[in-house]
Amino acid sequence: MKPLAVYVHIPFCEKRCGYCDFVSCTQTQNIDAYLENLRAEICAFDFSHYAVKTIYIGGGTPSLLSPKQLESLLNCLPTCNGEVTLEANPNSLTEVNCKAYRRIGINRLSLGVQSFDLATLRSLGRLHDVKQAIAAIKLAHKYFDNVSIDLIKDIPEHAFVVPPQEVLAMIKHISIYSLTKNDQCVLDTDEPVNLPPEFIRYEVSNYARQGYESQHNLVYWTGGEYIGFGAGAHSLLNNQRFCNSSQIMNYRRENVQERTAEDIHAEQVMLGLRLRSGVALNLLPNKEQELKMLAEHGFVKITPTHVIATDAGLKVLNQLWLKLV
Amino acid sequence: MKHIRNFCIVAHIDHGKSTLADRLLEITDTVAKRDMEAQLLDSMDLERERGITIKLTPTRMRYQYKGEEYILNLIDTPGHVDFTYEVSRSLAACEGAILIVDATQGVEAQTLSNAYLAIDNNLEILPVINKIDLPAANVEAVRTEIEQVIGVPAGLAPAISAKNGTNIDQVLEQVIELLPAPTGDENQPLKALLFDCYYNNFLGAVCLVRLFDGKVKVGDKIKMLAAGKEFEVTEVGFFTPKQTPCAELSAGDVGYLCASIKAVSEIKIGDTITSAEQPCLALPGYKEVLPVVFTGIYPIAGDKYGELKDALEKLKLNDASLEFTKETSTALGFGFRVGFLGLLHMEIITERLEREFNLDIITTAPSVSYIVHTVDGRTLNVSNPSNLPKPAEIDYYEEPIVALKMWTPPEYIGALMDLATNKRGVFVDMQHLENNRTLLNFQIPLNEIVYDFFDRMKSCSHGYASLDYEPAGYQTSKLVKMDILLNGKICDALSLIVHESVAYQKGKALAERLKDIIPRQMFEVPIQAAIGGKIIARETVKALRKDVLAKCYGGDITRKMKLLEKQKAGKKKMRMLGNVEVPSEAFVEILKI
Repeated sequence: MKPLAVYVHIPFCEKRCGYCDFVSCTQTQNIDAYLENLRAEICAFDFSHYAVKTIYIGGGTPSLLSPKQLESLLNCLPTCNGEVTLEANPNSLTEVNCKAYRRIGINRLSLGVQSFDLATLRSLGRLHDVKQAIAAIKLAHKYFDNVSIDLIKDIPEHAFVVPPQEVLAMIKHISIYSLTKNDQCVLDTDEPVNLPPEFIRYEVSNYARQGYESQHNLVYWTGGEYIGFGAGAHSLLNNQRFCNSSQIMNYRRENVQERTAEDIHAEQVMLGLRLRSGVALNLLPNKEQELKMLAEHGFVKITPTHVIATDAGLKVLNQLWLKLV
Repeated sequence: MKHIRNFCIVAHIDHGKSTLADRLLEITDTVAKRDMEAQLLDSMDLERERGITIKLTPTRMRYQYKGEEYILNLIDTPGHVDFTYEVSRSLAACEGAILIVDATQGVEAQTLSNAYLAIDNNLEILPVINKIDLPAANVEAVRTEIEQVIGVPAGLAPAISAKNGTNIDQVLEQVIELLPAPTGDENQPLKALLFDCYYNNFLGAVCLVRLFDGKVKVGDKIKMLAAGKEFEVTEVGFFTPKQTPCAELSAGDVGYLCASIKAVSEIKIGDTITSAEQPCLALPGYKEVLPVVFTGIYPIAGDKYGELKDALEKLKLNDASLEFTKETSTALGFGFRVGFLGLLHMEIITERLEREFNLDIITTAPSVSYIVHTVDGRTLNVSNPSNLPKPAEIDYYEEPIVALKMWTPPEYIGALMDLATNKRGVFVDMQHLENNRTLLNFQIPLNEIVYDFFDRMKSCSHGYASLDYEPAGYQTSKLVKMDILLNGKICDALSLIVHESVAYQKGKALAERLKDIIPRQMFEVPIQAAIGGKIIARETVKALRKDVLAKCYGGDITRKMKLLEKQKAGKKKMRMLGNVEVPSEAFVEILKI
């Protein structure tokens, strides 16, 4: 049995956010029809050779679905004993739902908090305020051990605000992303993030307490196999990358690409540089000179087996990649 | 032989040379109309795109006139000032020249210089007035101008429209009636002029020849007089314009011969080909033109040096005016110092290297050839700034100057005067010509006009002015070598020789320009301009603060990789100078200062 990560995309939202580049829409009246397609897609997949290690229900706003709808989706999937994540919005999380989520097998909540500053939330167009965010985190914490929050930084005219102490005490994982537009960071600066040391930066934009690294995302970042269901979802199976198209009510599989040895190598270096675990030195033969230069200037540190980007290096990861591939 | 006419067409650029050539091919049924591509003889993409002719293509046409069949050999010629050399080669193979003059523009710079070249080669000149279909055409004024300015009778000159095919038959009739047939003796030993050469992967060198005496056929043993080499002929023929083999070529013919000539070094354009058994005397050499502009050409990837060498050798086979020698730069590694006839020639060669040979190259700042007198009495010719002796060893410099002629409508005289004097030109005199045109004469340092003078002249005269120049010796000049330092290290490939009076201003402009061209990198990059160890300008390229793909989740790795690959493709155009990445265009951009 090969290990497999499963991603399920729920593209519905109460409101579209300008910064979000995932497939999404506000036509919530289509949810049932969409779910029917989605279930059919999942049922058509042959899981017989796979052991599902993680499930991630992302969006969009998956918490717009009723627990019943979510349950019907999870019932289509094989049992998963690992991490089962649901993305949720702070403004729509309720106690009733939290209980139900636990009952149907969800064991990790990822909350789209985005900021602890009201002006920033308003400029991002979020529907919740700071109070609601904290209340949602409390609620999540009450029912779930493993709670993650998403934050955005490097927003013009809005300084990054570190989560308050009471929040940090309740969460295990934080994803902090630079605001981007058309894949470009909006600011060419990198705001410092001062989190307590127990939050370890295990990936360039992800921090976790020991043992709470996102198992699902680590599959993406370490070249493991994953299948994505739903509009715009991406997959890597049998060395092929493919994705579903973004027409929400009529998506189909497209862009099937067989990876060459060079593709795999380029990806491994790119993803490895982003991780605290680094890139295995045996992937970088004949790069001694470049590595030495980068180490001398403090962009990487070199262990006997790996090269690991330093904080300075993490700011210019593209340049590191270009030097090493 | 009395039924052969060998002729070329000369004209100023854009006066319709290639279009007339196309019409001649059509009317003589040399090329079926359906096979007609506009400007058929311009076979290189580059030629069609730029509307210029670079390579010669001799074409044999048949034409019935008064019940007799004539063989008309047309040798198309380039029109730009840089290619005077190619023109002179084709002229040496002809007895006559059609001189095209645009009925709306009149006599222009290259009309005159090409007409004089033809007259110097004892060719019969046949003026033709083209573009009579245009509303602004003034045929009679142009007739008068041709007679007054060039001194060639033009009363009978056909007035044609090559575009519409009007009066083309008159041109052919005059070619037959007025141009002389070749003279020569086919019973004498072979005497042929090698006037051009193509490289063919299967046949080796294809030599374009004009036979003056004797005959040549497959199996003949031939000798190249200047090269001193002997070969056996494997194929002879002519162009229609397709390469068409035939049994033999004889005195008066224009055609080609192949002789399994594989090595480029075995060919000397301009050589006399004769019989190995019965050699003749060499034909008089025709005008040789020396390169005036020199530049370093380096492969972006160091391991492509061998490919670059092969490519230059192949281009050299077709282009005798191209000169190159090995050169080493501390910044750029192994490359070549290449000599060109002018900037257009340089652009064409570099573009052909990139397109036809798929090479990514760096071209360093063009330079001219200076004479350097050292304090210990030596005299050196230096075209590469990095070969200059130390400043303390230099007594004085001499730089090449040219006699510059600019033809212009009177309203642009002021602007052109300013342009030339700003470029250290010295005004000589001014002549008023027919047709509301003025000729300005200047003495000007060659290095001031090799960069962008032509473009600037065109822009300050709204395209109306034209120019020509010829070498006018050397003059003593106060020059200095300016070095550019990147990250504290001299980058020899960016060094320039400049006039003392503009050194500071140029150094400052150069540092500013480089600051814009060199992208931010992982480290701060100081850019300095220095003269003899003294820093005269400094700019800094700040370090990159952030260059990272923000998020990488949802499993969409492909998009991230595409973005990185794009960035990587951009890097390929960069050259590492020490620790600094410099875009290859930097080397050319700095000329525009």
